[in-house]
Amino acid sequence: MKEFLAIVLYRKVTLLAIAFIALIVFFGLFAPILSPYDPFEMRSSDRLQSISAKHVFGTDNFGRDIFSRIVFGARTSLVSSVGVVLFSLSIGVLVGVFSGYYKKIETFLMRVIDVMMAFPPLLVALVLMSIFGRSLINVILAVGISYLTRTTRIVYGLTLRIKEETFIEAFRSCGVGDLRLIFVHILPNIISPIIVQGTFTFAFSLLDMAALDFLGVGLPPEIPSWGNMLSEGSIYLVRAPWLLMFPGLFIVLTVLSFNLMGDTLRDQMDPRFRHDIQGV
Amino acid sequence: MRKDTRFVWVLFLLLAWNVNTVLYAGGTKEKGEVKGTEAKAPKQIRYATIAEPPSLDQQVITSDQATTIAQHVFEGLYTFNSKYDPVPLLVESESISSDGKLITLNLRQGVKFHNGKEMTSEDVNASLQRWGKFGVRGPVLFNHVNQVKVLSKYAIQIEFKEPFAPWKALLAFINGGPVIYPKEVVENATKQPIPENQYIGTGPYRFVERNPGRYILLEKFADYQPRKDDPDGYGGKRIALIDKLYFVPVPDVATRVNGVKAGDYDYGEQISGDLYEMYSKDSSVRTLLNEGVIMPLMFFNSKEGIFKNNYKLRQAILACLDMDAALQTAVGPKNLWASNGSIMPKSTSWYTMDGTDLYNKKSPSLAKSLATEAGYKGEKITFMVSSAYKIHADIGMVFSKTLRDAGFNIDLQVYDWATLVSKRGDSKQWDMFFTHHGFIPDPILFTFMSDAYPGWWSTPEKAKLTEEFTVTMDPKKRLEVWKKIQTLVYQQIPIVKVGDVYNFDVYAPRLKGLGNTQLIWPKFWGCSVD
Amino acid sequence: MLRYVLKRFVSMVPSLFIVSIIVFLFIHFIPGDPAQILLGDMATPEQVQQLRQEMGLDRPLYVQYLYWLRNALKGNLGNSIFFHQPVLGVILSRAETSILLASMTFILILCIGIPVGYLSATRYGSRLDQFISSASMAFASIPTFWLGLNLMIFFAVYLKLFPSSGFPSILKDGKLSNLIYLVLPSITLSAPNSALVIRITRASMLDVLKEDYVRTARAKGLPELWINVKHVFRNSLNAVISTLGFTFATLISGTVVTETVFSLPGIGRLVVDSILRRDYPVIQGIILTIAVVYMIINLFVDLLNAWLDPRIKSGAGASV
Repeated sequence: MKEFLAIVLYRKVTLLAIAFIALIVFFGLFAPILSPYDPFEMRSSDRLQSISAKHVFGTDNFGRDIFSRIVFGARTSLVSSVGVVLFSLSIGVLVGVFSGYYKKIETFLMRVIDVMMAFPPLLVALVLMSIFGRSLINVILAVGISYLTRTTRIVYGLTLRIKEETFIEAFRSCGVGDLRLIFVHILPNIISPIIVQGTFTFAFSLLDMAALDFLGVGLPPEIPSWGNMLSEGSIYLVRAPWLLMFPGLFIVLTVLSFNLMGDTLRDQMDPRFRHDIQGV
Repeated sequence: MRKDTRFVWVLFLLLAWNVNTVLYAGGTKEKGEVKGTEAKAPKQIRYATIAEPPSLDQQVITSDQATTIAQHVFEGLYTFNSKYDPVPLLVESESISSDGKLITLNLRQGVKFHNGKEMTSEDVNASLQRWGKFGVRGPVLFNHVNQVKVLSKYAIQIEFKEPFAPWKALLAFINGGPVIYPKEVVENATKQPIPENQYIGTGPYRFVERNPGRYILLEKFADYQPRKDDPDGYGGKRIALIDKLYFVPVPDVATRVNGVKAGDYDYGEQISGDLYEMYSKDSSVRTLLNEGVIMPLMFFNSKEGIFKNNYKLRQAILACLDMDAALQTAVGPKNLWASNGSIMPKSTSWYTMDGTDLYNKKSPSLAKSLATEAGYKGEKITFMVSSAYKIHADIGMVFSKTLRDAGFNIDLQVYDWATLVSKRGDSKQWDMFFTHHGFIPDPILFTFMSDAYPGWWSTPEKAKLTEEFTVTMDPKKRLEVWKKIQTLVYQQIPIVKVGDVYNFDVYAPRLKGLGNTQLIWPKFWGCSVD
Repeated sequence: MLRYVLKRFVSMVPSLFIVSIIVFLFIHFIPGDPAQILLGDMATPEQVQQLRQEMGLDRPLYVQYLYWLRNALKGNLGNSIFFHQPVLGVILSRAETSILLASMTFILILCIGIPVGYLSATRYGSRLDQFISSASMAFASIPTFWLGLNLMIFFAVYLKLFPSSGFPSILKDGKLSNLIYLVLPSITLSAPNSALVIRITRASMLDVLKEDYVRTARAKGLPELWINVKHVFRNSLNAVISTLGFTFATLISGTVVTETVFSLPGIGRLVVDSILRRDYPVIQGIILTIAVVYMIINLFVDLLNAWLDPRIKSGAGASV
């Protein structure tokens, strides 16, 4: 922990990233207090207003205040995207590492992943919707499954490779148990690509889920999320670019911040990086 | 350690992109000319449609995309002039018996099918029979028909059980209507659409091929026999000046406009209202208002649930709604919508304001008192809307917001179209749903006029007036009956009509002869290209 | 090696069988009725019922499945309800676009992702690396429709260098120049995917750079470029290849937004449209096709990884 703090303090930019994430979380927690307008209030006379003192980020095609919707959207966006990341990483990494390590279950698990890959998220979401009714969980699962398979493929390949490394062999011959080997010695060594995959899952899934919202299987479209704000604004690309600009800005900055924090986390977890905090 | 500049770079990139967007918007105006003038090649146009039609068989398909294409290939006995009154097309003359039950149609002679065969009354008879049995709108007419008889090679007779006023409008309405096929094609046809290799009609263009996902190609039919009278709307003589018509599915609205601007398409249909002002000022494209009205409708469940027999509660909902706000939000510029309480649009002879007191009342307080009178205690109201049509979802969202603010417990359910259509068939699953209605030549064709349509509006009062409406032949008397029906609609409220909405299309300046407004289904005979 | 490949191909049969059953259950489970969609708003319930009977949709589910299976085993995937054409033909007509688009995009990803990732890793921490990191994060979060439309407005409408949209068949026209229609779409698609490959390459290479043997090689005074390419790059390819594998797989089937923006007749749109139209035979056929493609790609990735690192003793490596 001390070392972690040292790295964070040394890299000022990580502080910036943490500050930004904190801001987003703050938005998410205190949205009703922070937003200047009701994000659901529609005023047909105030449609598509450009940036002004009254509406700092402008208004959308319903005449709703975009800044307020971004503040409110922070919660849905974070919860859903972090949900997809956690779901796809946790299961993906476990399935990947176990099927890479244990030959007995390899064939079975990897064929299951093959089968799962073929199902389009839209179909899965429609099925989940007809079983459970409309909810955020459906979308997280539907999108999460497709990212889960990707994480599994990466982790599986890396595990196959790393378990043949001499140091793993050495640990094994010293009598280190399988589980300890997997979680203490294999996983930390393949953490970097997993973190990259997680960051991209976060970014991609925001937009994937928005697409499902708009096909009518996701969240109700009046609930703001950054992804569906972007999709909804798509026809105003030239007519009213601020509809796309601000949600887009928040997505990019969030992804970048998570990426920076991921790098720091990686350097903390990977023993070989710990003494080399020179880089960014 | 070097300074970390990553945040700075991201902000810089974002700023740069945004400047670009503004630049392109302004920049296109100067470079207005269209590329690729293919003067020597056969004259052809490329039409960007919003979606691919499932089939061109007009008798069983009601998709507007299908009609736009199919009307060039297939013709009916009648068609519409520019005022949307029925005028003869394949028919030369008609005679009606004094009791109104016997209608004799004399066909034009020398009309050729695309396979070279001449059209005779046998073909007409077979086509009408199939439409009457399997056609989407066929039963509406054929429920009143005793028999159809071939009198001679060029004459056919329809015998009605009782006088049936809208017969001519129904024969003229090509969308889901009785287009004429050769007898061989149609005599064994059923509910399934006629296959592509048998698309044989009498129109000025013949069907060449369909390349799924890419285009449908029509080619000028050399042996076409035009009528002699002057063109008027879809009526009169049809002269094809363009050799080839490509209908290309371009689902994205921005792509349809940009494709026309780039010179890849000559015509793009159904552009979003909010872009109207921008493109009407843009010299590289022309904008054209489409006359085809879109009537957004909200249906109540008359069969089951909270609205069953509770007219007061429906009135409460109606009194609450602000149609101006809804239409402005969903459509945009004022010239593309009208908050019109008349069930039929203003341009028709069916326009009347009878009974529309509660329309566009915008009064939550009146709504509350009516709801209290109706015994409403905050029960959940399930409101289904489809995301497939932006206008449905947008108006649905505005309505549910307004209604929630007035104290109604609205459960807004947004579905894809297929799910909504299947759920609305089950009266237990919903209280209100949203859809729209396109142009119809006679009010009898409104979906809610059928007792079987979801919503299931069937009251004795409705049955009595509908009966009177169909047997009355005199147009003036029919209008009086229609006024009574409209008043009834505003008392029993099977539907809430939101207003009249119009689309606009864009086209390339090289396309000539389109006029000031576009007919419901754009047609390209009589048009030319530079 | 050959035995392993054969084994994998044989194991596809039960997998595909399972896929077909799951898809069948899924599509009949979700609400919606192709007959109703086909007939439109005006059709009466009786007319819809009539058409359902004609299409055989009123038979018990297991009967429908067995009929389908019997025909599928004979190579007949049925007819599309929407297009009234054989399913196989519908899929093949879209496959051309998707395969070409995926290949062009894939080449772009290889040409951008790997060299830039390499550069970013070897110049670790430099200003160039920082720029690349920010740019790839930005490209990862840009919506595809946004990038696609901007490219279209700039290159097709304003500069008129490329056609705005559509893709005329090369097989039909015989014109290889039609590839120009795929330039803007493949740039659009390659942006977020290249970003991913850049980051994965960079991360994997950094991992290897820290390995002891690299330090040893450096200490020995071997040339930097030699070390980077021979030791670092080659040994970091594992995750990159896995990433490229599933990226190519998604490019074949999951590019619906790009296909919509550029109105391309591809597999991605066919998947979504068929699901929305409840075109059961097409959904069945296309998901099976996608499954086959994915399985072959995954097999290929496994073989490639085993070939690059002979120590790997998975089934693939053991018999190489």
